Amino acid sequence: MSRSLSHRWSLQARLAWRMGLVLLGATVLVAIAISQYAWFALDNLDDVGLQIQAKQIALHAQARNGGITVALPPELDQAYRNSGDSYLYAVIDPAGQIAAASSDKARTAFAGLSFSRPADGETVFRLLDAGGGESSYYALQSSEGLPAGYRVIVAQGKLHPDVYIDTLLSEFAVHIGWTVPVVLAAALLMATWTIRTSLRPIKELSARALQIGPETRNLRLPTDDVAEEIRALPLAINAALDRLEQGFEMQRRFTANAAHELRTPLAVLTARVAELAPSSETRRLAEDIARMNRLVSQLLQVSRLEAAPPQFDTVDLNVVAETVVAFLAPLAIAAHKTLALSDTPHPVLVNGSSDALENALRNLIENAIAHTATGSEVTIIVTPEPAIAVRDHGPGVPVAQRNEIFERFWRGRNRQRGGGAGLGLAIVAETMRGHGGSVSVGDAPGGGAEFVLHFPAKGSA
Amino acid sequence: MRLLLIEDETALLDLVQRSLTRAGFTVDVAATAEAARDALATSRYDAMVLDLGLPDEDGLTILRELRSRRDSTPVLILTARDGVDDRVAGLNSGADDYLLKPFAIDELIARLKALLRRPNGALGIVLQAGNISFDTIGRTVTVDGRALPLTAREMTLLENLLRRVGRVVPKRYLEERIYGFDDEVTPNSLEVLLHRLRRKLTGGGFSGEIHTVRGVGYLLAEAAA
Repeated sequence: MSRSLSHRWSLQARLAWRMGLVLLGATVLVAIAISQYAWFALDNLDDVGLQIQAKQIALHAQARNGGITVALPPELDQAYRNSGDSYLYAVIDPAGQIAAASSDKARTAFAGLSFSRPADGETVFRLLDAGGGESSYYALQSSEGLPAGYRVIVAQGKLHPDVYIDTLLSEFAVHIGWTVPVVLAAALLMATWTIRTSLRPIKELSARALQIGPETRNLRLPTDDVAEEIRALPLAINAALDRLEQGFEMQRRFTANAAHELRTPLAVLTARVAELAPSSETRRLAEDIARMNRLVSQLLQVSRLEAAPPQFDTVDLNVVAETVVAFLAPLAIAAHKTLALSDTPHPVLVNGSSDALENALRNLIENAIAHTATGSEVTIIVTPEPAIAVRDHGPGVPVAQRNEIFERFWRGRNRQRGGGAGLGLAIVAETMRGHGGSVSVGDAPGGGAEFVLHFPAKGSA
Repeated sequence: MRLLLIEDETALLDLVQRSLTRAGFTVDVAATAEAARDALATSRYDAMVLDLGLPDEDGLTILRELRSRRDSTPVLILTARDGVDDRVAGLNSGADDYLLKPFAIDELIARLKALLRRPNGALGIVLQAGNISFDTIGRTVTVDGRALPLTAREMTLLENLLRRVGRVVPKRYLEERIYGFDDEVTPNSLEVLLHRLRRKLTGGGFSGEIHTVRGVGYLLAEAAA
């Protein structure tokens, strides 16, 4: 399901969706990298901050009377005092006693520490609040710049690092994050534009392909302005069209040649039989030849229908019916039957091939002449529906056979099909399909068969 | 009547030549376009029967050459192709009629006679069908040699039917030829006229018959069906 769905997604939507994913992923990655970096940076910042504090305190510490006093400049002193015990310091004398401290808090915080460590250099350690509070301190112990044996401890109320990172991330969102939707939109626009421009040749290809039909077989798809990746497709289609046209042309030539090759010997045969003295034998021979000729005509009609869909024009069904009735009237008269046409006062126009429609109607009327009772009339009725009906006064077509009579080489067991090969009605059905219409069979009023050619109304076809 | 028969299929050529000769025509034959050109260069023909599928050239080429020389010899085309395009191409090239193979010899003879009966044709003077004769110059009709008096309109109607013996002549075509612009024509004027003509012909002993193809036109058959 999802597979077939994704097949139908437009290239634009697919590209937009994927580029959007990539951009979002990139944004998340950048945010993670920034917070990672912030962890390290914060630690370093703390160390540097404490060192500076320690140096400042050492600078202002003065040994006096065997003791030590720290006299900070007023601003600095103020800063310690206003820090709310976030920043502490204490100076430890060689005996390990606190000689000076920033506040009482500092005294209690550092009181429990063991100062037995070597006084040299710097050590950084974590200091849990001796008061049992939740806050912990990050502390640095240094002896630098102090009289021998003295050490200074500075501590910084350990802020939770998440706070920094949250701050950093919200800063990131406000100052950098807004670029994400902008870049996203720009990327989508670019993708859409690229796809539009690179797909334009395909639209042109499609438009051209729509024009290719049986009457425009020599048209080919343009290949010059097409992107290299797509170019193989129109080239292959053009090659396929070339092959089709060749086959088409061969079939057309075959039909024309077959007509000549088949009909000339029949003409010879007809002429030979005409030379014989008239007898019941020669009459039967003539009938056989006529049947053979009809079969050849129908086979040629079938192959023409298959080789080349006929050229369509505006056709007046009145004219089609009149032409065919005039053509077949002598045949009907010779068989002691009559043809009658009931046309419509106004032209009944359809889209079609008059040649193919004449053939189809001719097949229907020939059948009707063969089946209608001697002395009776075959009536051809043109109606504005648009339709042409052919009614005879024969035995009719049994309901059970009304579908199968339109199949090729069907021959009724009960109906004597006037020597036909069973192709006539198949040709009629095929022709009507080609015209977007249909052929139906029913009972004629007063008995007999009624075949009707139905056409789509002109304009709706 | 001198005819040129151009057909490449020798069996058909022989048979048709024999039948036409029996029907009273003098028939020259040609099996190729080249032979046909030679024949046309040396003789004058009253009509030509032309097969389109010649071995060396398309039969239509000969027809076009003929017409470009302003030669109006009636030409009947024999063709195995019944596609509408072929028909149109033949008639556009100046053919007067065409017959689809295979054809009945009698049909070919009737069509040839019809071509020769045309106003400029060699048989332009007397139209015949069965036992009736129509002198188009003297405007007289005889049945078995007995004069049959007809009105001018009946005469025109009969003439037009005789010119296309055995084929349906559309009602519209007849009306145009029989009635002038100023004539009052009711939808059944022609029918009434034809009814009168039919009665006179039957009374005069005509061996043929005029058939009605209702909704299309009329057909004169040489022999009663």
